[in-house]
Amino acid sequence: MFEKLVKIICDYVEVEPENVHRDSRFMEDLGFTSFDYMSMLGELEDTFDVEIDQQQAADIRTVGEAVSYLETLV
Amino acid sequence: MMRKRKGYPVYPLTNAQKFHTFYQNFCPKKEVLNIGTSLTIEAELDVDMLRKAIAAAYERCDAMRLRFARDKEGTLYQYIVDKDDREIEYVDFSGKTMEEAAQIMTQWTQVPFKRCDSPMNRVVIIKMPDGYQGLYFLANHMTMDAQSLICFLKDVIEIYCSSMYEGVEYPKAMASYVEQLEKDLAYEAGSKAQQRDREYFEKLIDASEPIYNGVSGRAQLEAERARCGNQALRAAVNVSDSVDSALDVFHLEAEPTKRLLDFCEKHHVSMATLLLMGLRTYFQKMNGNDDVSINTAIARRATLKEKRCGGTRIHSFPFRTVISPEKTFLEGIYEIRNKQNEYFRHANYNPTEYFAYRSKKYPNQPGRTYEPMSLTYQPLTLKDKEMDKLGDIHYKTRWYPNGATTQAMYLTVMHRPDDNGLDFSFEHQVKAVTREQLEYLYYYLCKIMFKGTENPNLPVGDIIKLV
Repeated sequence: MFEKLVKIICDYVEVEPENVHRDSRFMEDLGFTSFDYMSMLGELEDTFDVEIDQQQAADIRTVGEAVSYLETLV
Repeated sequence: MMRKRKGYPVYPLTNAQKFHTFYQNFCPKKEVLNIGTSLTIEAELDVDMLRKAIAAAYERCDAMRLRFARDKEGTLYQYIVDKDDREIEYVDFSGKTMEEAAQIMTQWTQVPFKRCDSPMNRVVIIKMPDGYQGLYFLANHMTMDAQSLICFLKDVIEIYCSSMYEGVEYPKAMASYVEQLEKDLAYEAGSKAQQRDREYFEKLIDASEPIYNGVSGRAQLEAERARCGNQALRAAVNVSDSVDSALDVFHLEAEPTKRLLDFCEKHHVSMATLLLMGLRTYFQKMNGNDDVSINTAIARRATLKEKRCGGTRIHSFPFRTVISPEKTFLEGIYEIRNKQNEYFRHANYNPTEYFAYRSKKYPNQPGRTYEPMSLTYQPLTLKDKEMDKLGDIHYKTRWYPNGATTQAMYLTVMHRPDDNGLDFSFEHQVKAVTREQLEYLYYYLCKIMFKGTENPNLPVGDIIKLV
């Protein structure tokens, strides 16, 4: 799950995969804008065939939190 | 249906492009879609090398080689030519005043492009009276938006720097315009995502009719009600009979800008959210309505490919907020943020379809609207690592008005690269909104934003009374 998510993240922001860690914050560390982040949710829904709750997704700060949340859905 | 033009494959216009043609058709001044800007640097540039860098950037950016053509039925198509062989002009403004130079570039910005089979941009190497050198850039909005324009200029700078300075890498390739265009067209051809987005916006529109809020209060709406003898009317005409426009820019200094940015970072909200909250609270103060709608632009560039493909991708939608005076400033901010997030997920929806659906649901005479203004927040600037490689060199950017607008008032908020402050650029119809009205709006917008960010738990009603 983590590796798949990292691959998707690297399609959105200029960051090398080896620099994405579980404690990396989407906005502050990886440079996501809110539009990048919300657009990525749609791709995650398609990739993992899940339905993401927008409110819960908005509370996610780090890559690790996103992985944990996605794992509860699949 | 047209399939090829001059040997090149043709493509239909995207929804974003159709939206531009929609309002250009109503505007007697076709230069309404022109975007003019300049970037100048306090350094002696190698003009030949800069010309080569520009030529290379043209080759790398499909959207800079975009052309339009009409078929026999009058439908507009687009195609991309392989090469653009135009000589890059060089204009030396030495001996003129800065104002004269700006005036000339404003004139350049007010010349409409020929629509068919013709280049839709112009790049001029300039030397300013103050010795700064750089580029003047003009593009038609059907082919570029502010973000792709900045991306192109950055590409020129990076190519130039890589050829001039040791250790500066050649920039990564731009992304394919056609690939993103085909994605957009696939979405528009009846995809599930399109249906989902349509359902979202139609539900929003169905909820209830919005109400118009005037920049100086209720007078416009009351006059409209009196004119048609309908006290329940909720929309008003806010544009004038002339599309002549002016650009008034207000500067917020770096220190107060930082305070606003710190608030945004602390509460995990964007500057666009804060600006919307500030603006809608201003209109609430002036009109006494909790219900305020403002048009907002969404750049629709999330993936790296979208960010580097050029073209125009902006979709604009009315953004309706209903925030009672009892709610705190922070609660209002979060309501707006949550709704913005919803918009972001459905932003591919066709804005023209939005307005058509709303007009059917709430029939109004042509020209009446619920939104007094439009807002664009542009976070991207030219200030990045490549500019830093030039050392401690000062540079200036400037936008030039095209002289026409179909809207009463359009606010673009941009970061100033030279000092990290914010520029509030109001493009407005001269006969519809005065400079004095804008000064008043800007003054209270700032007061509301600072009062709110300093006291986020204060009710909106108290903020309105205190400012």
